Amino acid sequence: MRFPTKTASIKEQEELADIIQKNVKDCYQCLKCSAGCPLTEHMDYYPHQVMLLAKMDLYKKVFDSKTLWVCASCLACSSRCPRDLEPAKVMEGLRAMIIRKRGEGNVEVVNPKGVPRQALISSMRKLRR
Amino acid sequence: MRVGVFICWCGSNIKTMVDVEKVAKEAEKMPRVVYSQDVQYLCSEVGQADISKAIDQHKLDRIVIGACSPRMHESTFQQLLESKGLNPYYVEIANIREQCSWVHTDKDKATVKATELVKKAVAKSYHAIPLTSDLLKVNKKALVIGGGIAGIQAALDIADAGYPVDLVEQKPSIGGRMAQFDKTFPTLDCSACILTPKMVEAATHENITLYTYSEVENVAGYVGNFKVKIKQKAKSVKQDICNGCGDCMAKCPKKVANEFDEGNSKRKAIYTLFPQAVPNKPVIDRDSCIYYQTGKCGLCEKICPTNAIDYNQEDEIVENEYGAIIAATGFDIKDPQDLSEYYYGNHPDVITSLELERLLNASGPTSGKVIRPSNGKTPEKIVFVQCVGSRDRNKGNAYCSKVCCLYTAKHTLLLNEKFPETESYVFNIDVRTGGKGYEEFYERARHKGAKYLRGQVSKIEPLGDADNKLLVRGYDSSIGEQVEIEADLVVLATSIEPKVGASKIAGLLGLSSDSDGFFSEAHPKLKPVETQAQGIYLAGVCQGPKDIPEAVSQASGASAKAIILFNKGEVKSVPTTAMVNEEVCSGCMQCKPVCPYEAISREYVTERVAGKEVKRPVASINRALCQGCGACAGLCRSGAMDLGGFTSKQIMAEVDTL
Repeated sequence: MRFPTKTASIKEQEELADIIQKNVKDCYQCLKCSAGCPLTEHMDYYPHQVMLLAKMDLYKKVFDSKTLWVCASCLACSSRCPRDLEPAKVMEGLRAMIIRKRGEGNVEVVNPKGVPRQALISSMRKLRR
Repeated sequence: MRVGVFICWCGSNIKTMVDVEKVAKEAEKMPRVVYSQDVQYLCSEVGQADISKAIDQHKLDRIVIGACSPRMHESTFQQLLESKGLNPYYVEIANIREQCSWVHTDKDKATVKATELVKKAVAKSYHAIPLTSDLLKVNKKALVIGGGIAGIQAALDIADAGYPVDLVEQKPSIGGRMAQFDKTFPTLDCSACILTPKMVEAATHENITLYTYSEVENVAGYVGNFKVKIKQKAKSVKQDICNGCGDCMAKCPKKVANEFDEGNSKRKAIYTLFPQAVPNKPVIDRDSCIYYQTGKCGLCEKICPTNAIDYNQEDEIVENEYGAIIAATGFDIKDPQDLSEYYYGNHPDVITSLELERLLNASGPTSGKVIRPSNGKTPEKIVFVQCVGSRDRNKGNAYCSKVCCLYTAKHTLLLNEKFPETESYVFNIDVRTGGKGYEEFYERARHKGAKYLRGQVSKIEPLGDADNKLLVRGYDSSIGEQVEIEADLVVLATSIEPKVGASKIAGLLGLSSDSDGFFSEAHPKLKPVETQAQGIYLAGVCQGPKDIPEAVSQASGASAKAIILFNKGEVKSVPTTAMVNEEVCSGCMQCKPVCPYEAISREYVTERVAGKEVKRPVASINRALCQGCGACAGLCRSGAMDLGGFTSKQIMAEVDTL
């Protein structure tokens, strides 16, 4: 990967910050989120990598990854994060961003095995507004 | 003679590998041993009370301790003996910790060895002789070597306590490295704003004499009475007449690289180090000056309104006496040219952090504008590389340079402040922020957008495009991918090293240095400012990498030690000095040249032989100078020379019992 690379516009960065109400730049990569995640074996990017990519404004890689849909929102990462960053919230924020992009009432099933509940809830929130 | 033996467990340090009860039992059988005991912690209050009680109950007059190195606690036991009315040199220590338990793995054999060592010490104690110290007067004046922030602080503290101080600095101005910095972490104070008042205070303090452009040439003597020769290099400008108008500097035709700006600007051959220099009067750099090289020019002499230029000035040697010396010689930075992967020296846009510091500084080569040296444009993508030459056993220095993490964070913040558009990438191995407020500072840098990439840079090379950008290759272990950055500017956080010439100072002062060349303190925890040489103290980075607050606190600590010495007014001499048996001495004086302290001289004794008065030469020891190294005693052919505490009789007794 060659820097300077940025896949998130300032608008998108603000959108994520708005949803999660956190500053991803606070992450200092202690890797505790990945250490405690029960689903890493099914992920292509581990939670700490999602955090770093978000921090580096490289959202595209995360959007294209399986990880967001594998995350079960068990909140193990959030409960342990020493920076109180709540990686699960960041994941949720990124998921919400994908769903928002697809437009109102047009939720596509991304994962053939079904959309995780958190994604459905977030899309419902979006639709209800 | 009644000998008491005490064997220490040292908690589990000795006990796990040495059967201390057995050693104590064996000791009981040794001749003249009337009491023997093992104690868990002999150096503790309880252990000392045990010895004290045994001395009273069993009327002991020689004490043998089986414990740690005498370096650690010999003085503890000596004080105890003194308080019991015994000569402190009646205690003998067998080192059964470092020499037995720590180095052996077979408990039985270690126990046998420990018993032997105790036996040896018991035999030596039979021949112990009482030794006494002399009280030596202390010359209440201090010498500080090095005029950086540590040296300035130490000098100010001693001067404020009311004692005179001489401050020696090899550059034409005091201020040291701190004067080169722009801002200081973690408060972002302007470095010059907090340093220059101190520089001026040092220069104007009635108790401080500045020797700038000077070097220490020779040190002789001992604690309280050091005799030091200081060479004042010829400044070629009469400092008392010069009014510092600067006309000479403006007119001087010769330009050379300015070391203060890390070679990134030019200065004249007649120069002051920087605008706020103290003393703010120029000196002529004779190696560059046209007049000294060719005999032609002399422009500064013609221009000078006060006729202060003196081409015929000569180096002056000043000889002074001091009671205490503080070494604060500071540091240099490693030249990253040896680390070829960083491309330093091959591309103008690869710079060191100190060069960036000068670029940021308002009095620096660009008046505070940060530019790409190659084209003068503002850099947008800046890559910082940490640990350049630090923690690198192969081509650099094995130790952590301690300040690089924080000054890099500072640079990203300062750049972000000046140009909010810049992007900073920081390649790091770890980020170390040990210090008050440092973690918050690092946090602030991250918050402001510095992108920390975990992993070292493998190669920096020119991209070859129109802008001549640099391509930095590395690997980020968190993303788990190789990364490349197209950078406008690369800043190398170079390792800090002891000052060039520090080893010479160490030789002059009799200091030991560690394998990296930093001066060794007497004890890493309990005597961090003292050295093995009495009366010589350390301050600042000459002892090891430090940030400014640490250097300043150590300087104050070192000056406090010097003030303690001055307040006492006298010191106890080393009692384990050499002794001459004048009856046996043949006066051959073979001992004189081997004495490193020049403590031996020839004297004459008169005696009556066969009714006639005969005058005969013998060696004589100056007990104040003698440090008890024993070189003379080992060499003496007639066996006249002996070392207090280690007499030939004592050594032979030890050998004989084995």
